[in-house]
Amino acid sequence: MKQKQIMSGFFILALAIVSLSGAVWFIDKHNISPRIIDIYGDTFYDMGVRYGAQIKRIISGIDVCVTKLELLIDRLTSLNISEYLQGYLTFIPSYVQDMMHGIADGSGLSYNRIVLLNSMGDLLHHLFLEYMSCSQFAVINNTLPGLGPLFGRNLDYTLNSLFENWQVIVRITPPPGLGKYSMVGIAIAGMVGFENGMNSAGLCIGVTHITSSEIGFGTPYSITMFDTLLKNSNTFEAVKYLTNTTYSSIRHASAWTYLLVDRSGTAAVVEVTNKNNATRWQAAEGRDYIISTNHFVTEEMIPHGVYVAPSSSSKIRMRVLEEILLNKTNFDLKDAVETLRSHYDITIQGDPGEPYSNCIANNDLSGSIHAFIGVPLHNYTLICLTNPAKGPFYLITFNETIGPVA
Amino acid sequence: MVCIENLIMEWSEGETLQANNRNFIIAATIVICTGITTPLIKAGINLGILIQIIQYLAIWGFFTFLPAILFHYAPIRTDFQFKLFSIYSGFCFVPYLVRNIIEPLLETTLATHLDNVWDIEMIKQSTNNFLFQTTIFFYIVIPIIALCLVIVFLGISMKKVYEISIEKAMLIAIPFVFSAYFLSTIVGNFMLLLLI
Repeated sequence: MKQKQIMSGFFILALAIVSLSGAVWFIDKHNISPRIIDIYGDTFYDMGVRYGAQIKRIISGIDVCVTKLELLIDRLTSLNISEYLQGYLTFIPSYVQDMMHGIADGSGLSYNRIVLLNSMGDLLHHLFLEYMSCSQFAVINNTLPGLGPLFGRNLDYTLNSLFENWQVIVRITPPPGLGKYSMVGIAIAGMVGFENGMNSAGLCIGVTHITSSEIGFGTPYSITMFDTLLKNSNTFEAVKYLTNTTYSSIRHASAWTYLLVDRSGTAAVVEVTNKNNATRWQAAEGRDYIISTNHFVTEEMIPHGVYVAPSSSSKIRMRVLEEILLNKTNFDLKDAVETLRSHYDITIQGDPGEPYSNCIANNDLSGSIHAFIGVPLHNYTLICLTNPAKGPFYLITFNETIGPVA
Repeated sequence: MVCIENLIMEWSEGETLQANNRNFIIAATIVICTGITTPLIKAGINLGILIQIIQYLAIWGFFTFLPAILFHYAPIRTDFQFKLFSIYSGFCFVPYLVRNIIEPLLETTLATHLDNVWDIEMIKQSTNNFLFQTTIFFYIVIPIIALCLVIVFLGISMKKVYEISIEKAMLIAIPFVFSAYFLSTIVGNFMLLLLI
């Protein structure tokens, strides 16, 4: 009888634990109010300490995720992760390293773990996975008069459930004299850089993943974006910064496309690997918009990408954005929000016989983690920190949070 | 109509539902309608409907078979009662059905006030009204309410069919509903990969 009671007790305990974690997960998934972290200070180290202290509560959760990914990479590849981290550090600007030391001291996590977190996106390239992941666009000539150019991006990711709960909106004011521009963007808590962001000069930047064998030591993508936004005010400067290693200290660790747009309406996509790069200019392509998904488009860079099934997903998404979603006159905020929402929608009607040719991504298993809309002319962003098809957008400026607004 | 009247009579009299074909067909119809509604409202007739129906049928199967097997091999040793419990678990989809109708309807209205607007002050004004606030409130809470109701309904169903205590039934229903959520995403992703 006693044994039966003990067994029942264990059973109930197990059920309670599963239920509780499920409930926490579900509520967190629908926890719509964004976590906004304002970072400022007299030095980058101070900023890091302030940042680390504010994310102290959630940093252990991220560390568990990073540990899982570290194990995955360790088991599936022969990569020496420590060696790679040292390799990355030689290309990470010293002020970013100061900030990472600050985050480590503020959060209580070790410095090596913070470096690992900031490098994880590039380390994952060594798995050569083909992700059904992000899509981004800049709409230039066909926007509503007065609105100016629009930048939009959503982040779809196979490992969404690992990362979606640890996202934060960071607003960064650099130390006086040590950086030119304030920034706002989305990051995983503990990351120095962004997944996408905008600076106070009106320069927007986002990134998409490309599978390529040209990977090596370099600057992790999020730090590249942070450095670019901190030092550049327009697309021309930023493209030069990202592509000319004699002009900047940036060397790309792996393969990405960076989409840039500024408030004057100049937009470009920079396609990079560890060894090569090329730039697509929206003006040269002769369309009202420019798009990047998860494949290289320029003739120079196509041979440097690795295309395995289902790379068609990337091409379908690009086609749908080109032919349907962005092909409108007076494209406005409503259209941008609906593009990112419909973007997720697997149920969009397609051509006869091709049910998914008019949809982009992804159900919840490799689903959207967030959506970002930048309005560079008016210095504000619309951000949804959960699946945009299931959560509202907030209007975030450099000093104000309004919403939800959609 | 007569079918539905009979059904309401059975519920209101506090009796267990009959394990007959009529009730089974109604339960299956509820599950299939749950799959049809969202894609139909958003995009008309399209093959997305097929994915959604299969996802919900997978959940239905999960809701039906696992508790039956669990209780059959538990010390209480109940009969499987697959048919009766499938009827009950089919009726548990009613909150999902309502959610799948309301959510896409709300979504279409959420961004309408951003049409032809870019000024922050105007956006503030247009969002600061009762209608928008109510819409956004329901858009956020309806999925949570639906999930809670499904848990409650599934718990009550287990209690009625397998005659276990309501506390145990609720406790078992919670992980079942969450696990079903993950199962449906796996099924959906598999279908998507097949079709892309």
